[in-house]
Amino acid sequence: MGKLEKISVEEANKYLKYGSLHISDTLAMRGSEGYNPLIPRQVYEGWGATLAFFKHPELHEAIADKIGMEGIRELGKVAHREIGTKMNLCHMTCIDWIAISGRAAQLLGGICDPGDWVNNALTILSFWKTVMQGFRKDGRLGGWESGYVSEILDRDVVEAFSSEVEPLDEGKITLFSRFNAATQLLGFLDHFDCRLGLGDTGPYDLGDKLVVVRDAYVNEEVYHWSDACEGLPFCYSFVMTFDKQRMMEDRQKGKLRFFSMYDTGTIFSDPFDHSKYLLRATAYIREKWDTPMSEVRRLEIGDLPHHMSKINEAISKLYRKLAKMSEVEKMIAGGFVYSGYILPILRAAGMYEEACEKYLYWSIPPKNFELVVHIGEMELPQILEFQRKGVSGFGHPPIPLPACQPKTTEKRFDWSYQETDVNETFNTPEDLEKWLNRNTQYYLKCQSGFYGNTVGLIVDEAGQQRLRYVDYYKGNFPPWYTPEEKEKLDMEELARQPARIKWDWDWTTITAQDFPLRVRECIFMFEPQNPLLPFLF
Amino acid sequence: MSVEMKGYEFIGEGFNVVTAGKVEGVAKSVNTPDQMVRLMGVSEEVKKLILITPGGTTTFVAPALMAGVRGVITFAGAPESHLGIIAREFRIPVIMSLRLEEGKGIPEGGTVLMDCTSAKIGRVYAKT
Repeated sequence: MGKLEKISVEEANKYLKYGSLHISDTLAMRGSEGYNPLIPRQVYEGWGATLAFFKHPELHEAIADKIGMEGIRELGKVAHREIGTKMNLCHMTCIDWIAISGRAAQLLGGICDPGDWVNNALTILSFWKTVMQGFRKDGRLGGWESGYVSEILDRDVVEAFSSEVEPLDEGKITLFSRFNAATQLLGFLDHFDCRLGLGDTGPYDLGDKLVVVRDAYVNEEVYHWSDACEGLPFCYSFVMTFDKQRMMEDRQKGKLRFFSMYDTGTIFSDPFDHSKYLLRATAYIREKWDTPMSEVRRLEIGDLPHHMSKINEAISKLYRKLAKMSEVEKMIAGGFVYSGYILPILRAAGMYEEACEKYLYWSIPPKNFELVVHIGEMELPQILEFQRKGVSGFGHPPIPLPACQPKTTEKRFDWSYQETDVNETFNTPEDLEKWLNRNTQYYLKCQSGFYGNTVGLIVDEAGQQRLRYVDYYKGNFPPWYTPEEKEKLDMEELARQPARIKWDWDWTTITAQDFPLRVRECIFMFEPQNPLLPFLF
Repeated sequence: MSVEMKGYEFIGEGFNVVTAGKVEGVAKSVNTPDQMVRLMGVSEEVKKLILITPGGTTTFVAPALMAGVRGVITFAGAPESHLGIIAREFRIPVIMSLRLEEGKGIPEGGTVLMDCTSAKIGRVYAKT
């Protein structure tokens, strides 16, 4: 028996739904960028996610066996004291997102059923939950629960770095912004157009200013194409301070609609351009992934042009190199980059070499080829649609459940937020919808344009009690608002509207034919959001 | 709001990424990495170009961004994408998901103007 403590299927279902909402809130509006002639991202994402879904469970188990549950939590804490570490927001989020997207890719491709590969899902979600218990300090699983704020670094670390920032006059702002952009660009290129090459955390509230810390990983030694980046460090990090007072004023005037840290480790704002709030900044170098923090070097803004020319050269070399690689080669390489969010975890656990030798990290499980063949048979528009669905919350149906036992304790599930005894018969779907609207205290606000909630209902069915799910929303999800519609959407007004049950959808596992419906209990699965910086939310 | 501009023909509009005012350049379609690599050999020329690309992906146009391309117009993507993020830092005008007016096209090698004055909507014109 392994040391990884597995969650129950019911709890796993909660996190599948959580992931579905989380992924779609973050990515749906951004998943429309079309085909990239240099890097076949839509193709590699599908099979890379599947690679993670099939391969990572045994790695998660091996890590747990070596360091135990508390050791896994300690891994998550690495990010509290370090910059330039890939044990970051994006990588930790991807333990959930990418792996469950692998399950989704299989389901959307019709290759497996929701009841297949249950142990893989349980293992992945159990590991992710445990890492997050160490990684996040707010007890949440994602920054969107905290009002899109992720204060990962310890306060004294942020204070120390932010005491070293330089004021930026116009010339320095231009230089800094271009350098910041160039490192991000190389981070994307070295990571095959994938967000794993970058990572922001924050905003950290330091009284009169907000701080954002950014890492750009420009030379990942395990990727053979990184020889084009020779001479560059593993990571450039940036510490940026923003004018909190001005942002608060603009927020009140409606000129700044949001300034949010998404769990891909990306700061987004509306309006998009938030450079006018930037006050001061500085940059750092971490030479190797295991360079001690005491040896992380600060760069003066005046040093940046020298580094800029090296980055320019690396981008040029790397682009030419990628342009020469075959599509198949890039697809395979991209899949390993995409599933490579586990790399820093293996390194931190001291298990990378063992993963390569014993668990054949760089090999492809045969099961993966089914999806490769499936994708290979698709035309480009189908591939784009496949990806669009993947980033829009589709493909994460609950794992089927057997009948459940009658309730014997005050709270049926230790993972639920709130449980309400109902003991009522609903004659029509409209009656249930009215009850939900009357009894729901909160909805999850998703800035992509909706408020959502999902409950479990314990219902009587053929003499047995069963856990069923109901999804209900204010706003569009899915289909999504078009960008034009979203622009006109008033979220405050939307909050006042009644929610509607979303029928004919994976996450509403009752149908109109089930009425009259005897409901015994209502399980509110999710906690209300608890913004760390309410003025930003 | 009128889209008329004297001396120019309105071609279409999309999402504006950077409020960068109006910029004019020579329209150049780039559809493959090889075409981009060829442009890397003439980086001074790139500074005069407005690149037209089918997708809205950042890595594909990476060398052009580094070379200081005058602008980028895409037929897909949104300002929240990687390209949007990077273009804002570079202060390079980008209009994404361009929707062409019926019967209109971007004149290859012709002069086009990107009107990026509005925070959200970018407009594209051809010089007449």
